[in-house]
Amino acid sequence: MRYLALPLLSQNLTESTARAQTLSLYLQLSLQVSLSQRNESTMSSSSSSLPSCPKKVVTLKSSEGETFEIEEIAALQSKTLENMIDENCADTPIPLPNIKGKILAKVVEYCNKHAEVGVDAESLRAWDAEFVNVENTTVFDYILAANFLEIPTLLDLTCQSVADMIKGKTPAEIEKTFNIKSAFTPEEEEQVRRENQWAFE
Amino acid sequence: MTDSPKTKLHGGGGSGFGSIGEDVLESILRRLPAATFASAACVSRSWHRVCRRILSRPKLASALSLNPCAQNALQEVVDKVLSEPICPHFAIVNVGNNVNMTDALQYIGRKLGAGTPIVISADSGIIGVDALINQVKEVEGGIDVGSYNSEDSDNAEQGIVLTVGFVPGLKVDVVPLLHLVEVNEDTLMVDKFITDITEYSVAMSGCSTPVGVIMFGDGVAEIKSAAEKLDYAMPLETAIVGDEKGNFEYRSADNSRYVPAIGLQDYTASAIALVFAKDRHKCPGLGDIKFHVALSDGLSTIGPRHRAASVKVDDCCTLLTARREGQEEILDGEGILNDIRDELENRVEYPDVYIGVTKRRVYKVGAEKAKSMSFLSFHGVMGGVEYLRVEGSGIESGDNFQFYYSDPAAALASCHKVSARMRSLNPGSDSDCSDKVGNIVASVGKSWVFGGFIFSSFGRGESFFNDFNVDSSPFVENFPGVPVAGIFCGGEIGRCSPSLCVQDSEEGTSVRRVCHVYSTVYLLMSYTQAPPGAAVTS
Repeated sequence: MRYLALPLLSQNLTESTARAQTLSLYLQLSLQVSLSQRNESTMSSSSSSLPSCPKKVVTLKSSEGETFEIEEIAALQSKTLENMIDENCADTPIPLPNIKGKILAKVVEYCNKHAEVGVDAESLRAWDAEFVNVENTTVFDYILAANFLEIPTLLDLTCQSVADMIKGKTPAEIEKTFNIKSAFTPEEEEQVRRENQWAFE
Repeated sequence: MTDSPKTKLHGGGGSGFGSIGEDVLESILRRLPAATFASAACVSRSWHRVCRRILSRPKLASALSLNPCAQNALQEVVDKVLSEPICPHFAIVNVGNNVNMTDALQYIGRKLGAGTPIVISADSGIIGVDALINQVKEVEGGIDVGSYNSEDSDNAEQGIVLTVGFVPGLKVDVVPLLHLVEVNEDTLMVDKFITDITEYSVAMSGCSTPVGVIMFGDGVAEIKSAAEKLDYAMPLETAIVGDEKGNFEYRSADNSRYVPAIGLQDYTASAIALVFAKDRHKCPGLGDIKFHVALSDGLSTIGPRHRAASVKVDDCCTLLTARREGQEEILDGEGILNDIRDELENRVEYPDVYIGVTKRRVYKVGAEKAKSMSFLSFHGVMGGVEYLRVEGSGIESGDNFQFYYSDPAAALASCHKVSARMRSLNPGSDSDCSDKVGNIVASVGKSWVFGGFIFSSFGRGESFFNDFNVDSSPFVENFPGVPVAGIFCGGEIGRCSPSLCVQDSEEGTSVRRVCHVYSTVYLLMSYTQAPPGAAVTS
């Protein structure tokens, strides 16, 4: 849960600014109420709906043993984590022996960003583009993590990024980029080429 | 799920991509444009397997562009159609009259590879899914086959529609109807045309009847007789549709097959048939593609029946005198027209008038036994005082005929009937079958429509119905989101599939109709899954 950002009340404020700040306060308050209502339905343990309660976090443990905290709201983007939270397995650190710390940190960052309220679509898109503007091997690791944690938006983003990487490449170039050995026999190779002949002319 | 290796999750590292499972690989590869997808299929056994899974079912991709610059429009439609995985087995391009067909054919030919049969036709209008806004549009424009209106051609919306089909299980090629230009006479080699089609079918599928034939005629020669012979020669399971009168060019997958190498004579193609034959080497486990044809009629009868008395051919027209049915007196042109004039004058709009002539002729293809058949064909009425002057030829003395006029109300009612019939082809509940490649629950005989083609009369469209997109509505209503393309043309070829027939044949089933006017012919392509018992190779 977010802590309220209490607006500074100063004698010198104009009436309209005071109104705006009151409105902002009101909005954040109603947001807190709705968030806490949501939490109440997903958590069996009681939690007051007052803004002053501590935010519920989930702890994730990377393959090297490093721990990362992620707010429950953000964690809900992962179907895997959501299931665990629903079944009350999320109170102790969740081990993820398949995901390195470096990657897990970024995945947490992604989920946090996408759980933020009030970010406009344009800037989120730009943020996403920057997020995948990294080395190929890192993107692959993101894919594996997103697949395991079942984060559809991240999987979508990273798969599209890899698809963009492949666009326009010949088979040889693809093999080189992804370090893949083609295990075709010469006959298989010929047949496969013939099937797809149209694109090579 | 499938047997694909589950996602191997060892700790990242340099060869990270190698550990990506086939299901994730599928999420990546299905986003590729067609050309890259083809490359991807050649990378490794695993990638090939995934690609085969992604592109396992028939697919039609079609796009329309109204970009005023023809070159840009061409690029737009090609880019759109090839933006997803597809392997082109055939292509149909429909353009307005501002496009240089030879250049367009070359451009598309380069993009689709030398082995893809391509037909390009210029007509009176196009129907397609706009590449930019993803909506079906009917665009009439270009030059009316019937009349030249200089106003129209200035702001006529030209446009291009490209349709590319992936039809595993079928083989496709273009068979030309050759026109032998000799000194004394022009011969349409119709018999050779029919035989070529049959032989192609035999070579591909082992049986002489193709699944479907799409014809394009040049309107100069009498294509009607070729279409009628085709109708006679092919059993009802073979779908026949087409455009009688347009300009076309084509490229066969195998040009040497049909044009005789003998002689120095000039061969040109007066018509072409895009022939779809079953592939005898089809993978087991792959379902069947079927073609269905529906017809919306746009004419209503008027006046008494007549019987042609004297018949004279004058250039491309025929001059007639006739008797009213059951009467002796021979009427001249004026007399014949008087029979319908009064009734016509009561109509608000001046309709187009035709005569529908029932021709009983002897048909024979090759060495077969000759058979007598009756066909109904339409000839536009041009007027006449001394004689009734109608378009076209092929009418003989003694032929019965009746007057028909273009009737928007009847056409609209017919469209609704067609739509109701198409509903029966609609599986109903699940229209999202195409996405769930690995997860679909295969029920026996599950089938769906994956594409459509519309041949509509240039006389129909917005001005005829006073409404938008009426002709495409039966298809769009029943199969929303399914790729569809079409043209407005000067004569529609088509014969209904039994499943989609809405005609109440007043003349009984003995009179056949394959060439129409003021109608809309719908071609639906459907795919029926193989029963679950069949082996699936993947």
